This record gives sequence, structure tokens and C-alpha cells, in this order.
Amino acid sequence: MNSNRRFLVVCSLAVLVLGGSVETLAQIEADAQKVFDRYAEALGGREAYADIETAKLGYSMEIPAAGFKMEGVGTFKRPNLSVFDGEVVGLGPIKKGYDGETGWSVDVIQGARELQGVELEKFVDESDPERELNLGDRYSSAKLAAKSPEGWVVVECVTRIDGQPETLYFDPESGLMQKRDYIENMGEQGQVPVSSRIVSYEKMGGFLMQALIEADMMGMNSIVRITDFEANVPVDEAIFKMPE
Amino acid sequence: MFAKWVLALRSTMGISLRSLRAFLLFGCVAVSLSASSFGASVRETVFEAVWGEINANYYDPEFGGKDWEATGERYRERMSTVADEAEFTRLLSDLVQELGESHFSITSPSYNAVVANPWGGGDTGIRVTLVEGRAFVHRVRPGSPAESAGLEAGWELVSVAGEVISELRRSIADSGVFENMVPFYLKTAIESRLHGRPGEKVEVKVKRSRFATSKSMTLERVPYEGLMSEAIGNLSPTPMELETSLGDDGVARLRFTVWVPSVMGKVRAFIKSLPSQTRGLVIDVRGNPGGIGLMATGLAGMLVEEPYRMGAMQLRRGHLNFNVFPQKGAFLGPVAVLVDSNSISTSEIFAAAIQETSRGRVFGTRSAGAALPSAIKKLPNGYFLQMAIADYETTGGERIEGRGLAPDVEVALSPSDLLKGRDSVEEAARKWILRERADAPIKSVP
Repeated sequence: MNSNRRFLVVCSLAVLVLGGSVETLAQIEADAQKVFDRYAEALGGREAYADIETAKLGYSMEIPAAGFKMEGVGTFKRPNLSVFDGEVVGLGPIKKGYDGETGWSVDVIQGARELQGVELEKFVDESDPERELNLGDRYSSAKLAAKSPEGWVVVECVTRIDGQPETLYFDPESGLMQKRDYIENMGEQGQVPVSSRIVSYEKMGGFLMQALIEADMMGMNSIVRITDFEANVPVDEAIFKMPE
Repeated sequence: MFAKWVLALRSTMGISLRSLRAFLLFGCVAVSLSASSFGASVRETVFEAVWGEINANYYDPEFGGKDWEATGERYRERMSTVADEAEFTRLLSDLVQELGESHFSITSPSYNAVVANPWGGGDTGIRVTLVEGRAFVHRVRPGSPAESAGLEAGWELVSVAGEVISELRRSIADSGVFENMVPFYLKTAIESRLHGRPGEKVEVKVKRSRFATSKSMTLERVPYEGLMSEAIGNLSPTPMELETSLGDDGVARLRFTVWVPSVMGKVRAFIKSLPSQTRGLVIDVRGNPGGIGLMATGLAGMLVEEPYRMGAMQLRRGHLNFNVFPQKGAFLGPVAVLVDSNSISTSEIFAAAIQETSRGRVFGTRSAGAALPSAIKKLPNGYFLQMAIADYETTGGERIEGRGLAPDVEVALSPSDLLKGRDSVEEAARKWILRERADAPIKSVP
């Protein structure tokens, strides 16, 4: 009985501390939040996404200088299930998913593994639409900085999950994000800085999507394209499970 | 929820980055070349591309203490004296060798001075190995022209296509390539001269023992019917070998000649198929020049039941870890890894992990000491630049680059034993395994 009570107290304290820490640490300046909100509206607003229960997203990626090519499909289902199924030319298939409990990765090189730590936390975060209702939720702090040479609005942020610096650049006229400098933190797998520039947006499924991105990572320029998007497609939940 | 679909791209980027990590090369492999002639202005563009790539992306911002700006200026001055493409290639090669590390090379048409015959699909059946700088027939493919001509493992190669091996070695050593890579280039040079188009002939001069009289043989190349690696990015397909067997003594053997993804499925299937009474596993990476670096972790995952970190690569900005994830059906018995001076890069980091974790023992001779993660980038004129973009250290803090891996059991390949059909290195490994597991059956991870 005592141990049960002690367990409850510890849990309560943990919740309080956790809740308190979020309240205390989240420092999204009002001006920064306005930029995030404007970006949300520019993409089409919440209502454009309200009825989406499932979706499929086709994508490709290439690094011309290295001859690297990858194509794949991302599949999503509320509340936070996702699986990315790709094929790298010459390397073979690569899959990564989250079934609501377990995050996993399977590829021909390293085999199968369960995601752990920050890598899992970040993947779940990116698989959870309810936690991504606005950019402000992703950061523990965000503040406006001086405009970039291109005249973009610059927001300097610190990510909520892993405390990494991230800088976002927005077009003052359209409100759309133009560039993102961030640390791709893969937890135990390592971390690499990435600078990505959104080359174009396209309207897909009733809202604007980042359709073409160029990114610099590991000294190489890569091109990522969203090739197609389809909402409310039939999805078998078994695809989110880690393959045997 | 809107942000989710936008951020899907972010996830895509993350997955792509992880795939790209797998794409990094730890090794020396062939590229597809299609260059055309060009003038001085193109040379300047190419020069700046090479210098600039290294300036921006070489992992060490201090350039190992070298003044890279001044080096660039010095070579820019040399540019005015360059008369033709051969001289230009030499200048670029000299530039990339300034850092004194492996995994820096320029691939151009004049690279053919080393690689005389680009892969043309013809095979003589001779597999080469080097012992103390001399070239020997390591294996002869059954049914090949070499076997028909009476050539056997253990014979020394004196000359190939009219070029004396010792002179070929000297010219490679004098070319300014990274010293530890001379054996690799020599082996590549010999093999490339043995390759060619089916139907074409090549003359080889061989001798059965050190003091025997050399003998000339003319071999007609036949169509190669063995395995080919797949094209990956800028890498062209290349002939490869994969051998798996389980001996009567209960010792399993795995040998493959390049770390490419198509090997992984077969390797996993072989290891999973090993019966519980298997006494040990010999993994032979002698003559294996590396390939996809992350594959070292994939194979290591088939040999353990607990995860561990093999090492880490340090980029100019950021780092990536080489983690090993245990796989179902892993083999947990004794493991012996065979290395030699042509075990390069991925082969070295794999062997180093086996040694450092005491998961097994390494047999043979010191490895090449050329273990840097690299990328191959296409240059504006169609040439290719291979450059190291990261340093690599084992979890124990050991750097393999420039030093190589000293085996636990130093044993050289004996040409005289080869003549008797015996492989002295493999025999030493098998003996150790049989001593280790004289009785106990081996279990595999369910």
C-alpha cells in the first residue's frame, strides 16, 4: 500500500515537474509565434487538413554529384502511425516506421533494429500530427533575429526535444518558409548539420506543400522532391509494424 | 495537423541522410568514366572544383597543419605550365596527395596508365595476391584458360602483358600515391592487365618457385561468368567473388571480395543457415578493398547478441556513429578474420572491431591502413574526385589510417604452401578455432 502511494506521489511529482518545465522553458516570443501562425495560414490553414485520416506521400531524393538516387512512399495514419518505404538505387530497400508503440528501421546494410532514445522520440514527434499543430510546439524557444541578406524574416529557435539550435527563414510577403538550418540529430546514430532551402511549393490535396527542397549535408548537395500526395487512402495498419 | 505533412519532408530528409550514410565509401572501387578533351578554361574550373571541395569539406579544418590556401596558390602557378590532359591529371593527383592520406584520388583517362584495360568482360581465371611486394597466383578458377595452361596457385607472376611486375611496382610507388595504397594499385594494375575483352590474348610470364626458370604463357580471355557487383552511384559494376562453405571439420568459411549491398543478403542467409554444431567461422577479407562502410556493422551484427559501437566518423561538422545491431540467427561461436596488405578500409574497420571487442581473432599480415570515409564526386569535365570527408576512430580510440591493423596472429601467406594446395593463413585460423571449440556445440540466436 505504502509503495503504491509512494509510486503515485513520484508519478504526480514527475508530471508536475514535467508540466512545469514545459511551461517554464517554452519561450516562444509573440513575434515569432505570429510568423509561425502566418506560415500556417499560408500553407492553407488547419481546416484544410481537418478531415485527413490517412495519407500517402511519394518522394524522391538525389545527390547528383555522388550519383545517389532514392525513391519512396511515406504512409501516415492518425493519430501518429507512419512508415517510410524507400529504395536506394544500388543499395536496396530501406524502411522506417512507427506503429504507435515501437519505432523501427530495416535496411539491407544494417538489418533490423528498434529505434531508441532521441532518435525514437524525434521520429514519433514527426509522426504525430496532433503535436505538430503549429511550429511553436516544436521549440522550447523562438525569437526573431535580424533579417537575412535576402530580406527573409529569421526566427532563431531551440528544439524542444533535444535542445538543438534551428534557424528558420520566412518570406515576408507570402509568409512561407524559405530555408531551414538545423541539426539532424539521430541520437545514438550521430548528428549532422543540414541546411535546406525550399525551392518551391505546390498545391497538393487542397493545401500547399514543400514540393522541392535542396539541402546541403555532409558537404553534398541533395535534391528532395515530393512527387505526389493522396489523402484518405485505404491503409492496412499492419504496414506500420516492424517486419519479421 | 497541417505541419505534419510539411514535416513529412523533414522525415524524408532524415531517412535520406541515413541512406546517404550507408552510401559513403570505405574503400577503393572503380567508377564509370566518360570524359572528353577540354581546354585551359575548363582545367581552371576543374582545378578550382577540386581545391574548393577539399577546402570546404575535408574533415580536418586545420588540414593536418598544411596551409591549404598557400598550397592552392602554389598549384595555381603550376597550372600555367600544364600542356595537356596527362599533365593536368598529374597536377590534380599531386594536389590531392598533398594531405598524405588515403581515399584521395583523381580518376581520369590517364588513370589507365595503372588500369590498362578497363573491365571488358574477359577473364583469364587468375586471382592475384601479393606477398612481400611480389605477385603470386592465389587461386585459379576451375575450367579457366589459366587452368588449361597448367597454371597453379603459388606460381609467381613475373610479367603481365609485357610489363615486369617489379617495374610496375616501382612506377606506382614513384607516382606519389599514398604509400600504404601501393599494394592496392599494384594488384589493380596486374588484374587490369589480365582483364580485357573476351577473345583477346594476354601473355604472362610465370615461374613455379623463386629460383625456377620463368615460363611464358599466352592466355585467351573467355567471357566472365562470375558475379558482378551492382552499379552504385558513381561506382561501376565490377567482378566480385563470394564463397561460402562448411568444412568437414565443422569450420565455416566466408570470403567476399568487395563490400557491396548485394553481398549482405547472401551473407546473412549463410550465417543463419549454419548448423548448431558449427565450430567456428573464418571470414576472409584478404584482398578486399572495402566498399560501403556501414556494411561492416551489418556483418558484425550477425556475430553478436548485444549491441555495441564499432567506432565513429568525425566530419568537418557533425559525426556519425557505427553502431552494431544484433540480428536474428547470429553466429556466436569463434570467429577468425583473415587480413593482408590489401585488406582496405571497410575490411580493416570490420577486423578492428572483431579484435577490439575480443569477439574473435585476426590472422594474416598488417592491413593497408587506409580507412577513411570518402565520397566520389563527379567533376565538371567528367573526371571523378574521391576524397575523404571524415576521419574514423574505433570505439577504443584507435585510428587505422596510416597504420593499418596488426593481426593477433601474424602469419604470412606461403607461396610454397599454395603450391601444395594449402593456405597457411587459413590453416592457422582453422587450427585456432578447432582448439577453441574442440567439443562444445555452438548455439545461434533464435
